[in-house]
Amino acid sequence: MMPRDNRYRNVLLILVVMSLAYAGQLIVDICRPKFEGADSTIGLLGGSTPTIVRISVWWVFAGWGLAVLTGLVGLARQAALHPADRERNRVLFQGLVAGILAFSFTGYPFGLIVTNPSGFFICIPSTAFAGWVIYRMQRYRRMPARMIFLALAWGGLVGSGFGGSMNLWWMDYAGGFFVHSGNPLQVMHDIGVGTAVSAGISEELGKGAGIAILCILYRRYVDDVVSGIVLGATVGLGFNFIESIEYMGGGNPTFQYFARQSLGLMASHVAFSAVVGAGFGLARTMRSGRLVIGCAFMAAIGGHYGADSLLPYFAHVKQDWFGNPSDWVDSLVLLPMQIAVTSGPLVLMYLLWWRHGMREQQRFLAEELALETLVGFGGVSEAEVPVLLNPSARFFYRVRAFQHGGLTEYRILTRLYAAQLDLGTTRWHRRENSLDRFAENETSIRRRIGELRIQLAGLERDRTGAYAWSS
Amino acid sequence: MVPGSSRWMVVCALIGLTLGGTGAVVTFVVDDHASVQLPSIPGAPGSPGTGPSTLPTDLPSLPGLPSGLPLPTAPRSFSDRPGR
Repeated sequence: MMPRDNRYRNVLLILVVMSLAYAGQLIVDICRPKFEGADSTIGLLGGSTPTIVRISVWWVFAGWGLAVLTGLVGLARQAALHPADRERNRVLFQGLVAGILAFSFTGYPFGLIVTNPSGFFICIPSTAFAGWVIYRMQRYRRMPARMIFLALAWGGLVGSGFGGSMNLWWMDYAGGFFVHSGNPLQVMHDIGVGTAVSAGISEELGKGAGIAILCILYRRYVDDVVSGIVLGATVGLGFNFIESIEYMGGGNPTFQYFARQSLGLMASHVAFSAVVGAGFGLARTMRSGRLVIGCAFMAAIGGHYGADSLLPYFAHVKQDWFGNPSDWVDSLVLLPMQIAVTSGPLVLMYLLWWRHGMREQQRFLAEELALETLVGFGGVSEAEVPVLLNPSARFFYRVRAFQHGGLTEYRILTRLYAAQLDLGTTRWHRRENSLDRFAENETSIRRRIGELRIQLAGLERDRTGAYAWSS
Repeated sequence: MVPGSSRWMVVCALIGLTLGGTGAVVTFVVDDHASVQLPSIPGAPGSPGTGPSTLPTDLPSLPGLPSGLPLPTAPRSFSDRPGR
């Protein structure tokens, strides 16, 4: 008997915890010391709060209502259904409720896009290019593109919505708690420090939740540290996309674009989340990965808080250290130095892991593909092994296929190589006893390879006329 | 799969904590008001308030002043933004 599919239950659990964290902030806000003239029990719903923020709060409340309603419908259906159909209904409604809860955090990011459409369109090319680079970091087996898009969407819409909301709550109620702690400047300082702490924790947890959810839902495509880095970096890229739009709307969009969409594009959020993703990827290859995942979050949160604390400090002491630098020196020399100090160590770490992961992939694929040639099922031939292990050679043969047979032949050859790499990786997972229960089995992959070979041979016969001649 | 990877992740956590700890020391000890300083160079990239000092990846400027906070307008608040 197949074990129960608990993936959506676990996803739902993560989203319920995120919603509870949001609710906790709401309760603290309601209980905050009120200032004279405070116009609302819930601070963020007050008249002085920007409309976009108020809408985002109502968006969450509406999402919660809809989630509860959907859950009740699911429970009612569950009771009415035949026992054989209950499992499907359970998974369906768990997924639906989880999706609604995730969507409830998207109000603020959508608001940013609507209020700054030019920023949205300007940031698309650079973010798309970075996404392509990150995707190509997988030089052998690649995750499906839909996973990459989901990671991007989570980082941009859910991760940033959740992290931003938690910061909003803090900034709303913190003044009430700190107002008696000193002079106004000190109070602002305390709020600023707390905001950096809030951003470090909530934003990294918000992004990390997306990485965890994707690893749960698509574990069969997450092989090792490389997959984890790619997932994490993509989630961070999505977050950075929305944050760039937000900051570009706040003034000096040229500088913000330069800092966030070019110079720091692969640092900051991408680096923090890549490290978290590396933790999940490493955990995939271990019996118990809790320590690794915990350390990854500590690294990301610490690095994020450090960056948020050190960069304002650098801006403050810049004049003392470097005199009065021109805009050019500031942007082209000092800013890269600051990014190198604050994000550099984590960028270096994820690049080192990536390099190590690629070498390991090459090693195990070399072993498994060589063994596959011996079994005689036709999945991989001896001549194909060196090509499969060399991304440049695969590219060369794909280009040649395009020259000879056009886009169709190019696509079929691409799918053939992908299937053969799937086969090698699946063999490796089986050997390591880490094969996911939802993964495609080797027989099915070999059948897929056989069909692709037939299609390729057919194209070649059509092109050369060999088919007509032989028949 | 990656030999010694869990140990490397511990090293990575220590790097992150060192960065965070340095940030905390700077914030609390070296420059107690660092996080509320406006950019000090008029006309510098991003001024006022959007220059390198706010490059970090948090969203400190998202909401503008919280409702009821009886303080001067914070840097880069919503109310400071053009068109709002």
